[in-house]
Amino acid sequence: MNQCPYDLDTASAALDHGLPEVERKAFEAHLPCASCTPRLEALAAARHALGHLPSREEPSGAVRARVEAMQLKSTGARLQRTRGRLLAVGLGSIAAVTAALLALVLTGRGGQDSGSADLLVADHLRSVPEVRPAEVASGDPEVVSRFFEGHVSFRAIAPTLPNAQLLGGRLCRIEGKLTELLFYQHEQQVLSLFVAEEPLTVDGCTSSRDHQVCSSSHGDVVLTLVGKLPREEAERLLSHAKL
Amino acid sequence: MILTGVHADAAEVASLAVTYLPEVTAFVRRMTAHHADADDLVQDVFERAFRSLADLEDVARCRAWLFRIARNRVIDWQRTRLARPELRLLEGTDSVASEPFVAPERVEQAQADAIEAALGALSADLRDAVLLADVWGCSYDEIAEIVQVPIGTVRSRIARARLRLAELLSDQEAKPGAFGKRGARS
Repeated sequence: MNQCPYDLDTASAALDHGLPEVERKAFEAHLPCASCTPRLEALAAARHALGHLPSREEPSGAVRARVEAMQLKSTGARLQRTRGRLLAVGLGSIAAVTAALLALVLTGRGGQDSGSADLLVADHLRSVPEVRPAEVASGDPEVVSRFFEGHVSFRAIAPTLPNAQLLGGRLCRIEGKLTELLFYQHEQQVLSLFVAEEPLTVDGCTSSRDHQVCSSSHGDVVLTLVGKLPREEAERLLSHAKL
Repeated sequence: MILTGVHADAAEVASLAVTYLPEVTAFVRRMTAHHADADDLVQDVFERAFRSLADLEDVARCRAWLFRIARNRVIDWQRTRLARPELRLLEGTDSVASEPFVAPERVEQAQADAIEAALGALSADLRDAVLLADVWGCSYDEIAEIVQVPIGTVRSRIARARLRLAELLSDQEAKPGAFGKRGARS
């Protein structure tokens, strides 16, 4: 037991995919290890237990209203200053201000979308089951979809993805609506697939924190795939999803 | 056009920041143990953020930036409160047995109140690091930015916190109520 060269920090970082490639391979190659294996199980269990704590809470309506008002005031004031400066130096025109407003609106939308993608990636990172897969653990789509029946407002499904093994899933609440969150093993990593009635982000792919967040409509539902994989591969998986 | 771009970026950041309102709210409420002041602090965090939008150089760091503002704001708030002797808090102990016996299945099945109690038994430094990693899914890099310590320290704090939590949660049935008094930093 005392012969193992790896310490607690290394085992914990391995769970977070936080080791450099060479160190990770060496660490994985030395497993199972009488010292590290029980330690990894304990660390993963603690990590999993914490994953159940809420990461989002709605502020009171008054706080939200005030924050949104501050946002408008903040960006509005900036726009006013921009307009004043443009006029003062003779470069301003109605068209320029209109363009600024348009840019504001468009980039505002972009910001919202990055935010949604960011939140989905955070959900993915927090939910990936390291110890036991979620609330329903099965590779059988029928078993998994049965778990969701009666809980979601749409027809429960567990799509099959090419070269990806279904692990299970859990219910999650997004924007107040219950949504399916499915897990798949794809090559060396776990992917999250959100199945919802409404789009969770814009159609297509966007990247956030080194992850792809790809979304596409399939009949009555919208599938959103989240994972650390190339965009083309994410698109391929989604386009070949069988409901 | 350059001016437009600069100001459009500010609008983008402000808009993005608001999407993190529920996460910042959960973070502040947790750090203040759901004190009545929590929502006022959240509002203050966003007020400060909107005032200093230009300080954020990388939009991708927006969430970590907000969390850092929130954490600093809560620490200031705690210092004010701690100046009052009746509110002095007890810190938990972070010592971990070299090879503790842990039953992973018991840890995983721990109920929310047991998890909260175990978290309360950790020091604030360990608790913040592990919560940012495992509840908010922050990377080591982001946590280092939020709590302003080197990445190696983050890595070590998370590891020790997880092991201590596993030990406490595994032990919960054997020693009910054995986690010690919980502080306001939770």
